Amino acid sequence: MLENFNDLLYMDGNGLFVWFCMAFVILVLSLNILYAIKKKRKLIKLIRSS
Amino acid sequence: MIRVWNVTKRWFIEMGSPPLFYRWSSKITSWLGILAIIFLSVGLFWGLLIAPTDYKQGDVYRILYVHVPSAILGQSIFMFMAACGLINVVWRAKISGMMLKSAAPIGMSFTLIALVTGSVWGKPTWGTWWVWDARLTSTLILLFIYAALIGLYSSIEDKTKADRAVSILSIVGLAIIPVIKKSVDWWQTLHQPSTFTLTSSPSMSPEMYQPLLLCVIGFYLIFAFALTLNLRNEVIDRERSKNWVKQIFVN
Repeated sequence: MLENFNDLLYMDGNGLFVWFCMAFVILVLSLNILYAIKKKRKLIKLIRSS
Repeated sequence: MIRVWNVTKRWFIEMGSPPLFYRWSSKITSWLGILAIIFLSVGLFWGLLIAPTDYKQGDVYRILYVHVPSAILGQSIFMFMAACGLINVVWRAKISGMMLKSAAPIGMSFTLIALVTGSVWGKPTWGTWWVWDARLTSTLILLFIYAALIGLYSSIEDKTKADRAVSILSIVGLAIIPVIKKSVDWWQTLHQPSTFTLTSSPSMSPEMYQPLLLCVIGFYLIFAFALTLNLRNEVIDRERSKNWVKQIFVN
Protein backbone atom coordinates (compact mmCIF):
# COMPACT_ATOMS: atom_id res chain seq x y z
CA MET A 1 0.00 0.00 0.00
CA LEU A 2 1.26 3.47 -0.89
CA GLU A 3 1.55 5.55 2.27
CA ASN A 4 1.58 9.17 1.09
CA PHE A 5 1.07 11.41 -1.94
CA ASN A 6 4.78 11.46 -2.89
CA ASP A 7 4.90 7.64 -2.88
CA LEU A 8 1.86 7.61 -5.14
CA LEU A 9 3.36 10.17 -7.51
CA TYR A 10 6.91 8.77 -7.79
CA MET A 11 6.23 5.04 -7.28
CA ASP A 12 9.90 4.21 -6.66
CA GLY A 13 10.97 6.14 -9.75
CA ASN A 14 8.40 4.42 -11.99
CA GLY A 15 5.67 7.04 -11.57
CA LEU A 16 6.26 8.50 -15.04
CA PHE A 17 5.64 5.11 -16.69
CA VAL A 18 2.56 4.28 -14.60
CA TRP A 19 0.91 7.72 -14.84
CA PHE A 20 1.64 8.01 -18.56
CA CYS A 21 -0.25 4.71 -19.07
CA MET A 22 -3.22 5.86 -16.96
CA ALA A 23 -3.39 9.19 -18.86
CA PHE A 24 -3.14 7.40 -22.22
CA VAL A 25 -6.00 5.03 -21.31
CA ILE A 26 -8.23 7.88 -20.13
CA LEU A 27 -7.41 9.90 -23.28
CA VAL A 28 -8.16 7.07 -25.75
CA LEU A 29 -11.37 5.96 -23.99
CA SER A 30 -12.60 9.56 -23.66
CA LEU A 31 -11.93 10.19 -27.36
CA ASN A 32 -14.07 7.14 -28.22
CA ILE A 33 -16.99 8.45 -26.15
CA LEU A 34 -16.61 12.09 -27.27
CA TYR A 35 -16.45 11.07 -30.94
CA ALA A 36 -19.72 9.13 -30.55
CA ILE A 37 -21.44 12.09 -28.83
CA LYS A 38 -20.17 14.51 -31.52
CA LYS A 39 -21.36 12.19 -34.30
CA LYS A 40 -24.83 11.95 -32.74
CA ARG A 41 -25.12 15.77 -32.66
CA LYS A 42 -24.04 15.92 -36.32
CA LEU A 43 -26.61 13.27 -37.29
CA ILE A 44 -29.45 15.00 -35.45
CA LYS A 45 -28.56 18.27 -37.22
CA LEU A 46 -28.55 16.44 -40.57
CA ILE A 47 -31.93 14.79 -39.94
CA ARG A 48 -33.54 18.07 -38.85
CA SER A 49 -32.22 19.96 -41.87
CA SER A 50 -33.39 17.36 -44.41
CA MET B 1 -36.26 -24.08 -19.55
CA ILE B 2 -38.16 -24.05 -22.85
CA ARG B 3 -39.92 -20.85 -21.75
CA VAL B 4 -36.56 -19.15 -20.96
CA TRP B 5 -35.23 -20.24 -24.37
CA ASN B 6 -38.34 -18.89 -26.13
CA VAL B 7 -38.18 -15.54 -24.29
CA THR B 8 -34.44 -15.20 -25.07
CA LYS B 9 -35.03 -16.12 -28.71
CA ARG B 10 -37.85 -13.58 -29.02
CA TRP B 11 -35.68 -10.89 -27.37
CA PHE B 12 -32.85 -11.53 -29.85
CA ILE B 13 -35.25 -11.40 -32.79
CA GLU B 14 -36.75 -8.16 -31.48
CA MET B 15 -33.29 -6.62 -30.99
CA GLY B 16 -32.60 -7.35 -34.65
CA SER B 17 -35.11 -4.64 -35.50
CA PRO B 18 -33.39 -1.19 -35.55
CA PRO B 19 -36.34 0.83 -34.10
CA LEU B 20 -36.87 -1.65 -31.24
CA PHE B 21 -33.15 -1.75 -30.50
CA TYR B 22 -32.96 2.07 -30.51
CA ARG B 23 -35.84 2.40 -28.04
CA TRP B 24 -34.60 -0.39 -25.76
CA SER B 25 -30.99 0.85 -25.75
CA SER B 26 -32.01 4.35 -24.65
CA LYS B 27 -33.00 2.82 -21.30
CA ILE B 28 -29.63 1.16 -20.62
CA THR B 29 -27.01 3.49 -22.16
CA SER B 30 -26.53 5.87 -19.21
CA TRP B 31 -26.60 2.97 -16.71
CA LEU B 32 -23.76 1.29 -18.60
CA GLY B 33 -21.73 4.51 -18.44
CA ILE B 34 -22.37 4.99 -14.71
CA LEU B 35 -21.51 1.35 -13.88
CA ALA B 36 -18.33 1.53 -16.00
CA ILE B 37 -17.15 4.65 -14.15
CA ILE B 38 -17.90 3.05 -10.74
CA PHE B 39 -16.09 -0.22 -11.52
CA LEU B 40 -13.09 1.50 -13.12
CA SER B 41 -12.74 4.10 -10.35
CA VAL B 42 -12.88 1.48 -7.58
CA GLY B 43 -10.62 -0.96 -9.48
CA LEU B 44 -7.98 1.66 -10.31
CA PHE B 45 -8.09 3.27 -6.85
CA TRP B 46 -7.62 -0.16 -5.27
CA GLY B 47 -4.93 -1.18 -7.77
CA LEU B 48 -2.93 2.04 -7.63
CA LEU B 49 -3.22 2.92 -3.94
CA ILE B 50 -4.11 -0.12 -1.85
CA ALA B 51 -2.69 -3.19 -3.64
CA PRO B 52 0.76 -4.20 -2.33
CA THR B 53 3.97 -3.45 -4.23
CA ASP B 54 5.34 -6.39 -6.23
CA TYR B 55 8.55 -7.72 -4.69
CA LYS B 56 10.22 -8.23 -8.10
CA GLN B 57 8.93 -5.44 -10.33
CA GLY B 58 8.15 -2.78 -7.72
CA ASP B 59 5.35 -0.32 -8.46
CA VAL B 60 5.68 -0.49 -12.25
CA TYR B 61 3.57 -3.67 -12.18
CA ARG B 62 0.55 -1.39 -11.52
CA ILE B 63 0.43 -0.78 -15.30
CA LEU B 64 -1.11 -4.26 -15.38
CA TYR B 65 -4.41 -2.77 -14.13
CA VAL B 66 -4.92 -1.16 -17.54
CA HIS B 67 -2.70 -3.33 -19.74
CA VAL B 68 -4.29 -6.73 -18.99
CA PRO B 69 -7.96 -5.58 -19.30
CA SER B 70 -7.24 -3.77 -22.58
CA ALA B 71 -5.43 -6.82 -24.02
CA ILE B 72 -8.37 -9.06 -22.99
CA LEU B 73 -10.85 -6.61 -24.53
CA GLY B 74 -8.85 -6.26 -27.76
CA GLN B 75 -9.19 -10.02 -28.31
CA SER B 76 -12.74 -10.41 -26.91
CA ILE B 77 -14.07 -7.64 -29.16
CA PHE B 78 -12.57 -9.36 -32.19
CA MET B 79 -14.32 -12.63 -31.22
CA PHE B 80 -17.55 -10.67 -30.74
CA MET B 81 -17.10 -9.13 -34.21
CA ALA B 82 -16.49 -12.53 -35.78
CA ALA B 83 -19.73 -13.79 -34.14
CA CYS B 84 -21.58 -10.75 -35.56
CA GLY B 85 -19.96 -11.47 -38.93
CA LEU B 86 -21.19 -15.06 -38.84
CA ILE B 87 -24.74 -13.94 -37.97
CA ASN B 88 -24.57 -11.41 -40.80
CA VAL B 89 -23.38 -13.98 -43.35
CA VAL B 90 -25.80 -16.74 -42.28
CA TRP B 91 -29.00 -14.88 -41.29
CA ARG B 92 -28.33 -11.49 -42.94
CA ALA B 93 -29.49 -9.69 -39.80
CA LYS B 94 -29.13 -5.97 -40.47
CA ILE B 95 -28.19 -5.08 -36.90
CA SER B 96 -25.24 -7.54 -36.82
CA GLY B 97 -23.51 -5.64 -39.64
CA MET B 98 -24.06 -2.38 -37.75
CA MET B 99 -22.66 -3.97 -34.57
CA LEU B 100 -19.57 -5.16 -36.41
CA LYS B 101 -18.91 -1.68 -37.79
CA SER B 102 -19.54 -0.03 -34.40
CA ALA B 103 -17.28 -2.41 -32.46
CA ALA B 104 -14.23 -2.15 -34.76
CA PRO B 105 -12.90 1.29 -33.67
CA ILE B 106 -13.40 0.37 -29.99
CA GLY B 107 -11.53 -2.93 -30.42
CA MET B 108 -8.75 -1.11 -32.24
CA SER B 109 -8.51 1.43 -29.39
CA PHE B 110 -8.19 -1.32 -26.76
CA THR B 111 -5.54 -3.13 -28.82
CA LEU B 112 -3.62 0.14 -29.21
CA ILE B 113 -3.84 0.71 -25.43
CA ALA B 114 -2.54 -2.84 -24.82
CA LEU B 115 0.42 -2.29 -27.16
CA VAL B 116 1.35 1.17 -25.83
CA THR B 117 0.99 0.29 -22.13
CA GLY B 118 2.84 -3.00 -22.73
CA SER B 119 5.65 -1.11 -24.42
CA VAL B 120 5.86 1.39 -21.53
CA TRP B 121 5.90 -1.53 -19.07
CA GLY B 122 8.64 -3.21 -21.14
CA LYS B 123 11.12 -0.33 -20.80
CA PRO B 124 11.72 -0.57 -17.02
CA THR B 125 11.25 -4.37 -16.80
CA TRP B 126 12.89 -5.70 -20.00
CA GLY B 127 15.07 -2.66 -20.74
CA THR B 128 13.50 -2.08 -24.14
CA TRP B 129 10.35 -0.46 -25.55
CA TRP B 130 9.76 -3.17 -28.16
CA VAL B 131 10.98 -6.64 -29.18
CA TRP B 132 9.75 -8.69 -32.14
CA ASP B 133 8.44 -11.22 -29.68
CA ALA B 134 5.60 -13.65 -30.62
CA ARG B 135 3.00 -12.09 -28.27
CA LEU B 136 3.83 -8.50 -29.20
CA THR B 137 4.03 -9.18 -32.94
CA SER B 138 0.75 -11.14 -33.03
CA THR B 139 -1.00 -8.33 -31.11
CA LEU B 140 0.42 -5.82 -33.59
CA ILE B 141 -1.03 -7.97 -36.41
CA LEU B 142 -4.42 -7.83 -34.61
CA LEU B 143 -4.17 -4.01 -34.63
CA PHE B 144 -3.48 -4.11 -38.39
CA ILE B 145 -6.48 -6.42 -38.94
CA TYR B 146 -8.71 -3.94 -37.07
CA ALA B 147 -7.33 -1.13 -39.26
CA ALA B 148 -7.94 -3.26 -42.38
CA LEU B 149 -11.56 -3.90 -41.31
CA ILE B 150 -12.21 -0.18 -40.80
CA GLY B 151 -10.46 0.66 -44.08
CA LEU B 152 -12.36 -2.00 -46.01
CA TYR B 153 -15.68 -0.78 -44.65
CA SER B 154 -14.98 2.83 -45.64
CA SER B 155 -13.84 1.83 -49.13
CA ILE B 156 -17.18 0.18 -50.10
CA GLU B 157 -20.07 2.56 -50.73
CA ASP B 158 -22.92 0.01 -50.61
CA LYS B 159 -23.40 -0.65 -46.89
CA THR B 160 -24.87 -4.14 -47.37
CA LYS B 161 -21.86 -5.18 -49.46
CA ALA B 162 -19.51 -3.51 -46.97
CA ASP B 163 -21.16 -5.43 -44.12
CA ARG B 164 -20.72 -8.69 -46.01
CA ALA B 165 -17.04 -8.04 -46.88
CA VAL B 166 -16.16 -6.96 -43.32
CA SER B 167 -18.05 -9.99 -41.91
CA ILE B 168 -15.98 -12.39 -44.02
CA LEU B 169 -12.71 -10.65 -43.11
CA SER B 170 -13.58 -10.75 -39.40
CA ILE B 171 -14.35 -14.50 -39.57
CA VAL B 172 -11.07 -15.20 -41.43
CA GLY B 173 -9.14 -12.85 -39.13
CA LEU B 174 -10.34 -14.80 -36.10
CA ALA B 175 -7.41 -17.18 -36.71
CA ILE B 176 -5.10 -14.62 -35.06
CA ILE B 177 -6.79 -14.97 -31.64
CA PRO B 178 -5.54 -18.49 -30.74
CA VAL B 179 -2.10 -17.47 -32.04
CA ILE B 180 -2.03 -14.49 -29.63
CA LYS B 181 -3.40 -16.57 -26.78
CA LYS B 182 -0.99 -19.47 -27.24
CA SER B 183 2.05 -17.44 -28.36
CA VAL B 184 3.55 -17.52 -24.85
CA ASP B 185 3.29 -21.35 -24.80
CA TRP B 186 4.26 -22.13 -28.42
CA TRP B 187 7.32 -19.87 -28.64
CA GLN B 188 9.99 -18.70 -26.24
CA THR B 189 9.00 -15.15 -25.45
CA LEU B 190 9.97 -12.32 -23.12
CA HIS B 191 6.28 -11.88 -22.33
CA GLN B 192 5.05 -13.48 -19.12
CA PRO B 193 2.37 -16.25 -19.27
CA SER B 194 -1.32 -15.24 -19.31
CA THR B 195 -2.61 -13.61 -16.12
CA PHE B 196 -6.15 -14.94 -16.68
CA THR B 197 -6.80 -18.54 -17.66
CA LEU B 198 -10.02 -20.52 -17.51
CA THR B 199 -8.32 -23.74 -16.47
CA SER B 200 -6.03 -22.71 -13.60
CA SER B 201 -6.17 -20.46 -10.57
CA PRO B 202 -4.49 -17.02 -10.86
CA SER B 203 -0.75 -16.81 -10.26
CA MET B 204 -1.16 -13.52 -8.36
CA SER B 205 -2.07 -12.90 -4.73
CA PRO B 206 -5.78 -12.07 -4.08
CA GLU B 207 -4.85 -8.50 -2.97
CA MET B 208 -3.49 -7.86 -6.47
CA TYR B 209 -5.97 -10.03 -8.36
CA GLN B 210 -9.24 -8.63 -6.97
CA PRO B 211 -8.73 -5.02 -8.21
CA LEU B 212 -7.66 -6.45 -11.57
CA LEU B 213 -10.95 -8.31 -11.80
CA LEU B 214 -12.84 -5.05 -11.12
CA CYS B 215 -10.83 -3.29 -13.85
CA VAL B 216 -11.63 -6.08 -16.33
CA ILE B 217 -15.37 -5.75 -15.56
CA GLY B 218 -15.04 -1.94 -15.83
CA PHE B 219 -13.36 -2.25 -19.25
CA TYR B 220 -16.12 -4.61 -20.47
CA LEU B 221 -18.71 -2.07 -19.28
CA ILE B 222 -16.87 0.78 -21.05
CA PHE B 223 -16.94 -1.35 -24.20
CA ALA B 224 -20.68 -1.99 -23.81
CA PHE B 225 -21.27 1.74 -23.24
CA ALA B 226 -19.16 2.88 -26.24
CA LEU B 227 -20.67 0.13 -28.43
CA THR B 228 -24.22 1.20 -27.55
CA LEU B 229 -23.40 4.84 -28.36
CA ASN B 230 -21.79 3.93 -31.71
CA LEU B 231 -24.53 1.48 -32.58
CA ARG B 232 -27.31 3.97 -31.87
CA ASN B 233 -25.51 6.44 -34.18
CA GLU B 234 -25.16 3.79 -36.88
CA VAL B 235 -28.87 2.90 -36.58
CA ILE B 236 -30.04 6.50 -37.00
CA ASP B 237 -27.51 7.10 -39.79
CA ARG B 238 -28.74 4.15 -41.85
CA GLU B 239 -32.42 4.64 -41.06
CA ARG B 240 -32.52 8.44 -41.23
CA SER B 241 -34.98 8.50 -44.13
CA LYS B 242 -37.44 6.29 -42.19
CA ASN B 243 -40.45 7.74 -40.41
CA TRP B 244 -39.60 6.40 -36.95
CA VAL B 245 -36.29 8.33 -36.95
CA LYS B 246 -37.98 11.53 -38.11
CA GLN B 247 -40.66 11.09 -35.45
CA ILE B 248 -37.99 10.97 -32.74
CA PHE B 249 -35.78 13.85 -33.91
CA VAL B 250 -37.95 16.19 -35.96
CA ASN B 251 -41.16 16.33 -33.92
